[in-house]
Amino acid sequence: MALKYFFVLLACAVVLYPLLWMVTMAFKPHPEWTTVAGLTWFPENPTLQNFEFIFFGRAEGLVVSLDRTIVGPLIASLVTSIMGTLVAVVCGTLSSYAVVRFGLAQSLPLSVLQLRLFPPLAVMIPVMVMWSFLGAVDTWWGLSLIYGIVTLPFAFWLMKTFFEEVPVEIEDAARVAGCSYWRVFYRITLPIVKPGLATCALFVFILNWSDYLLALLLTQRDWVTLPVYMATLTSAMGGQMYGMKAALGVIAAIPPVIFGLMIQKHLVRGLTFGALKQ
Amino acid sequence: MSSIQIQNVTKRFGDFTAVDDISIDIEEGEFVALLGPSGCGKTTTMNMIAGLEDVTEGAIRFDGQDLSRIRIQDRNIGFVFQNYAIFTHLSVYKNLSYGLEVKKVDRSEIDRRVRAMADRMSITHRLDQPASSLSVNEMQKLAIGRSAIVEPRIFLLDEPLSNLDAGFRAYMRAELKVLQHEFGQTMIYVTHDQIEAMSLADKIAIIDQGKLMQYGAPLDIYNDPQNRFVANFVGSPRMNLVDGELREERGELHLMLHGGAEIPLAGKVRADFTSDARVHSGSFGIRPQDIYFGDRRGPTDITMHGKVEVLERVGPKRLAYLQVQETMFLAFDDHAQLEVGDDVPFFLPSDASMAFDLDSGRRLGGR
Repeated sequence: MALKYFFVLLACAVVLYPLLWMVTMAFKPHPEWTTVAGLTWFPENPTLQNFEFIFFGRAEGLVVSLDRTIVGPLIASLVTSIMGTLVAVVCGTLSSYAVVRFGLAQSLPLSVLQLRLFPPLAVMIPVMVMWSFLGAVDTWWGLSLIYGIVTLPFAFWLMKTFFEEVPVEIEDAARVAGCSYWRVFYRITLPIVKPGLATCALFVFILNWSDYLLALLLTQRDWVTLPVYMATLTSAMGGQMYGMKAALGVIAAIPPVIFGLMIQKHLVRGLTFGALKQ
Repeated sequence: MSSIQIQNVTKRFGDFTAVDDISIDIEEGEFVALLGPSGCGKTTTMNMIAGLEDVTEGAIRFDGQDLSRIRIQDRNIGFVFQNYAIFTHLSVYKNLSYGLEVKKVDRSEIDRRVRAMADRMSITHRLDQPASSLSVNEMQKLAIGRSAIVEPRIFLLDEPLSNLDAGFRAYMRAELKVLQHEFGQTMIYVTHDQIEAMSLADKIAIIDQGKLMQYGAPLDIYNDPQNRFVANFVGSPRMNLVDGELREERGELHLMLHGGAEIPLAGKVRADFTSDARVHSGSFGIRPQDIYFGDRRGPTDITMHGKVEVLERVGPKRLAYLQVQETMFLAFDDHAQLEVGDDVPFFLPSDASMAFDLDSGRRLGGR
C-alpha cells in the first residue's frame, strides 16, 4: 500500500516539479533567476515585472526592451491551433464515420496511419516549397492547414474507435423512424460520441498548441506562435530571459487548461468510452 | 396495416447466400414468426423487409406495391431490435416522440400520443428520466412503445425477448399477444425459440441455411412436418428421429438402425417408406408422447424392447430414456410404472409415426 503511494507521489513529483519551477520563476525578479544570488524555492521579492515586460515590451527597472510583445504570437497561436483543430476534427470525424459505417475506402485507415509513422520533419522541405509556392508561408491559413493535416491521422483513429462503439442498430432504429443518413449522423450518432469528440478535440488542440517545429519553419514574422516567440526571448546583454520565458509558459498553459476544464465532464466519459457496455 | 408478399427473395453477401429463394405471403393483420437456428437468415430476411438490406433477387411487396423503389424512411415500419437500440443520450419522452418529430407531427398531438403510449406501457413515471437509466425490462417496453407510437404499416420484432429474464419473458409474451390484438397490426417476429413462435404466431415460417423449410399454422407444422429438419426442430421434447437402411426380408420391411437395432415396419409408416421405390435409407420419427407402454393397442403398432436408462421429471410427467442397443428413444412414462434398469416392451403406433428420406430430408407419404 505504502509502496503504491510512493510511486504515485514519485510520478507526481517528476511531472509537477518543472511546473512548480516555471510558476515560481515567473514571479522572480532578474537577480533571482540564476545562481548569482543563490537559488530559492519561492521568490524572495515577488514581482509581476516579467509579465509586464512580455505584455508591454518594457518594464520598470529593466534596461532591455522588446520590439514585439506577446499579444501577436498569442493571437497567432490561438487562431492557428483552433483552426487546425477544426480541420482535423471535422475531416477526421467525417472520414472515419464513412469508413466505419459505410465500409468505404478500407485501405484508408492504414494509409492515414502512415502519415504518422514518420516524423513531420522528414517532409518539411517539400512542404515548405509547396507552401511558399501557394503563398501560404507566414499566413494563418497556411499554418492552420498544416496543423490540420499533421493531426488528422490522430483525430481519424481516435474517432474511428468511438464510432465502432456505437451499435449499428441505434442508427438503424433512427433510419426506420424516418431519418435520412445525414440526420442520423447529425442527430443520433454525433450526440452519442460527443464525449469522444470533446476528448479528440482537446488532444488535437494540445498537439497544435505545443508545436514548435512547423511554426518555426512556416512562419517568419506576422504569424509567429508562442513556442517560437519564446525562443526569441534572449538578449545580447541579458542572455536568456528565464523569468520572461517562465511568465510566457504560465500564460501559454492557460488555454489548454481552460479548454480541459470546459469539457471535463465529457473527458472522463470519453477516456473510458470503450470500457462501458451499452 | 398491410399485407406483405415476399417473392423468391435471395440475398447474397459476396459468395455467401444468406437467404435463398424464399417466398412467404403474409395476410393483413397476421402475426408471423420467422423461426430457425442462429445464422439461418431470418434476421437478414427481416432487414430486407425493413429496407436495411437490399434484395439481391426477387421482390418484396406491401399490398402489392414493390418496395425496392421506396426509401426506408418512407416505408413506415416499426422495428424492435434485439438489443432494443434505445437512444441512450435522450430522455424516455424524447425516445417515444422521436419518430413523430421526424414525421413533423403537431406538438400537442405528439404530447398526447407520447403520454398515452407511456401509460399503455406503464413507464409514465420514467418519462423525464434519461433512457440510459432504465432497466432492461423497461427498455424493452420503451423499444416496443417507440415503434408502435408511429402506427406503422407493419411491425417487425427481432428476437425481442431473448435478453429478458424468464419471468418477465413469459409476461412479455402474453403482453405481445395482447398488443397485437390492440394494434391489429401485421407483425413479423424473428425468434430461435420454438415455444415463443408456437404460442404467439398465427403462422410460422421455418428457415434453415437461408431456405424456407415450411410455412404454415403452428399446429399444422407440429402435426405434419414436411421434412426431417422441421420434425427435429419443432416440439419439446424433440421428436425421436432414428436413421437407418431399409431392408426387405421374406416380405417384411425393416429399418436397420445405424446403432444396430432394427424397427419392423408395419401399417401406415411402412406404406410411407415404400411410397418412393428409390429411397433406400430413411429416418423414422415419432414424438415421445405417442409412444406407450403396457398392452399393445393396435394391430399395426410396432413392438420394441428397450432398457430404461434414465427417468427425468418434466413437470408432472416422467420422461424415460429407453436404450435399444446403441439407439435412444424418449417416451413419457404416464403411469409411473417404470424403474431405472427395467427391460420393457414399448409400442410405436404406426399411424403416429413419420417417414423421411435420409438423403434429401423430405417427408415420405404424408398424413
